[in-house]
Amino acid sequence: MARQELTAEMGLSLLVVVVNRGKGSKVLNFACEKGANDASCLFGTGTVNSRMLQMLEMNDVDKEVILIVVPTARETEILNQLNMKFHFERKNHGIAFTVPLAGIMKMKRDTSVRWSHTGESQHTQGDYVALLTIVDKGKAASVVQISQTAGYFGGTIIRARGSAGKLNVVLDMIVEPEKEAVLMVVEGARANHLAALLKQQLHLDQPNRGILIQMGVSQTMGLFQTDQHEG
Amino acid sequence: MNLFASKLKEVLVSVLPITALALILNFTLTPMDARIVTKFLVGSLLMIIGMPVFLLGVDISITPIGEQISEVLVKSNKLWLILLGGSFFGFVVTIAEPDLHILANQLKTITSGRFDSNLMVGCVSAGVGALISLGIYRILKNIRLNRFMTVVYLIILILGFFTRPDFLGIAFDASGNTTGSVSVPFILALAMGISRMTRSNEKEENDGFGILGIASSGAIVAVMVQGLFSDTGPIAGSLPVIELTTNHVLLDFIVNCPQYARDTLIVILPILIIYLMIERIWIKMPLRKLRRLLVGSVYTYIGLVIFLTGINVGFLDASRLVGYQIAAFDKPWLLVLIGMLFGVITIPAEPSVHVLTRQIEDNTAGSIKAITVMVTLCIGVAVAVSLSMLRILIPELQLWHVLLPGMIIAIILSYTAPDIFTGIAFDSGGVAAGTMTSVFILPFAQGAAEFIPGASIILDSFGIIALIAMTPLVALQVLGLIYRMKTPPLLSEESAMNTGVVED
Amino acid sequence: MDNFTMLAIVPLGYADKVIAAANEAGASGATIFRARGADHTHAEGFLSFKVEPEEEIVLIAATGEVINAICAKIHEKFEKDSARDGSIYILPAR
Repeated sequence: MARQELTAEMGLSLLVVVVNRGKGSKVLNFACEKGANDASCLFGTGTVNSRMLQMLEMNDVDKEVILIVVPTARETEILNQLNMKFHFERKNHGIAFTVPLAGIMKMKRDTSVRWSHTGESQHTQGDYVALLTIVDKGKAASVVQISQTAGYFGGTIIRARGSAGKLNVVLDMIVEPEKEAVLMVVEGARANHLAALLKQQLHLDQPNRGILIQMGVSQTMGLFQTDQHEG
Repeated sequence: MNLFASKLKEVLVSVLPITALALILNFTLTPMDARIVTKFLVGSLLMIIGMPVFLLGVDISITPIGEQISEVLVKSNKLWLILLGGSFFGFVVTIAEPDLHILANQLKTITSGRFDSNLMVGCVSAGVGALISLGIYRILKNIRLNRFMTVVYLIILILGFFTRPDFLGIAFDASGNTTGSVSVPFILALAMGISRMTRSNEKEENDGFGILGIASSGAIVAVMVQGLFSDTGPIAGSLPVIELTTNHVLLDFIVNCPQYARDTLIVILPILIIYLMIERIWIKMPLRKLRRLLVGSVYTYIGLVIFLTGINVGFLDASRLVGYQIAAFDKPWLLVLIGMLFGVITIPAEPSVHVLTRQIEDNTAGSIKAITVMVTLCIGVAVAVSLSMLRILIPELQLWHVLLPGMIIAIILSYTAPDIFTGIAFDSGGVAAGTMTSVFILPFAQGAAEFIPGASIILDSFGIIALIAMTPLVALQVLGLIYRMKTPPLLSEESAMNTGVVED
Repeated sequence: MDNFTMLAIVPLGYADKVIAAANEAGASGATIFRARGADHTHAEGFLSFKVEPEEEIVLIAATGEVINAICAKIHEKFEKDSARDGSIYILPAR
């Protein structure tokens, strides 16, 4: 399939796919086949919600997070094709969701952001909300634990580094502190509760403690949220 | 699929070729008696059980321990403390390495006691410690790895001129033995941690790689220096054949297990104790995380003991027998070919290789894939083993005839290949010659040398490690060149070609 | 006032330039992720493995106004400074 230039006018979405490690390149290739220009893959770690495995400290799962830009009009079609190949409807086969893009820019070619005009729906509340919490290295596990104890599903932890706030000086060099990001997808109605909980427990309202971003999700696949309430 | 399941899958794929090859050889070229075959199969089974447990343990225990220690060191913000800490830990993990003690004792035997084995262990540990400290200094001061290694290799070369050829092989063998299954993940994590924590600009991406190569060269220098200053007399006699046999197959495993249990404990315990002291004083983790580390250490220990018992008891006899029988066919090409196959299948079964390739994947976000590195490493080691077989067949072919050009090519490549591949290459050199080499390839070569007249078991087998440590340097840097060639062209050109640019 | 999250996807080594530009334009902080991009080439034959290039993803949370300023600044820098192109996505945040 030929690749097409994606313009903000046509309405764009960011398709986020989380799969077990090893499948990331397959998803990337799939995106290429479907004509996506922009696709990137990150490594992350997830957790299995199993008491037995947790006792044995074997509850970690290596994950890959793939970001693909797709036209909103083809969102459903691409999600379905993706599902045919990776079977998100089965448990533990990964999840996929889309977030509407508000704008896009190519660094060398555009002088300004092309704001999406069809993106009026961007603030309408979907069924789900994606929560991205960025905290100092070592705190991500607490984020996941806070959310799990409160009855929410876990999340995917992604390694990162930051360049904010206080300067870190080691041996006369200014260094960038290591960070961790946790990506979680929760039901829209309960998102604010979880966000408030995290903010309170991790003191995110104080400077340099971390940030929390909420994004409205338009379509999801492979979420078994309701099953997880008890866990 | 949880972490253990994915490790198990990874290991199954890596171990089955060895079992398959041994069985095929058994039914075709080299029929072995049922007892040896059974032992081999039990050994393989233990390996399949032990390795994933060990790798899981490394992931949740040894690697985080190394990272946390590096964090404590860096946060001290004192250069001398970071360097001293690095050399201290390098010394501790090396002096506990059982393979190093075995080698030292072998040397004592074959030099009729004139070689001081304790002195050697001390020298090598000090050498490794010193070089790790220099390697960390390199990371902190952003000295490029190729320049650093050029200087180190020049020193080795100059020492080499004054070193007797038999000591040359021993020096390299020592370097292969210092990077054991526990020290590899630990030292790697320590260096990667320091590298990540002190990153201040884009040129410093992943400069933690290379530390294992640097550590190994410390052992080489140490043994060479000791060789210069000690009068060991002629190296004579033969290696004591290690008898691991009783009359009962399963009994063999049970009888030998305590020895590996003790050796492994000696390696893991010091790291764990020192870490726990540091943890209680400076880190003070929540108990939940500490529990995870301790459980992980138990996995590492149990996994490694099962693995070592399995391969040592199960594989030694079989590989030696196969080597002898293949040589007995009197067809040189067959020996070279089977040697090459042995080289290919050994690498995926080496735990340290899995540890290294995982670190590579993690730190390049999967851009450099574990499987690609492993395949390249296999090719490199296959060439190394083939060359070693040629050396057994042609006594005129001296070790340095192969080693010197190889090292020169490696150094030249290090100035052209991408930096990260140079780092990976020097690490792989240290990692490739590990436990599996000593139970699989060395006995095979020794078996072959036993049959072939004019081949010296000591000289030839000691050279193999040197070659196995050298060829990956070339192979992986060539891979780096291929990678750069194949990296997609500049994004701007590429998109401009493919898309009609829409102007506002 | 609308809040947005900006994701800048650039080749390895360019994240620091993006952040420098963003800080000039008034961003208060950034987070950098390591990633790999897709390989669009159709590899064939021997040595046919795909090479997925290393990338960095810079995440900045800011208001629409600041985002506009950051993007203009980044464009200004990247137009002359860098040989490579990158993409910026802007996501609505709540």
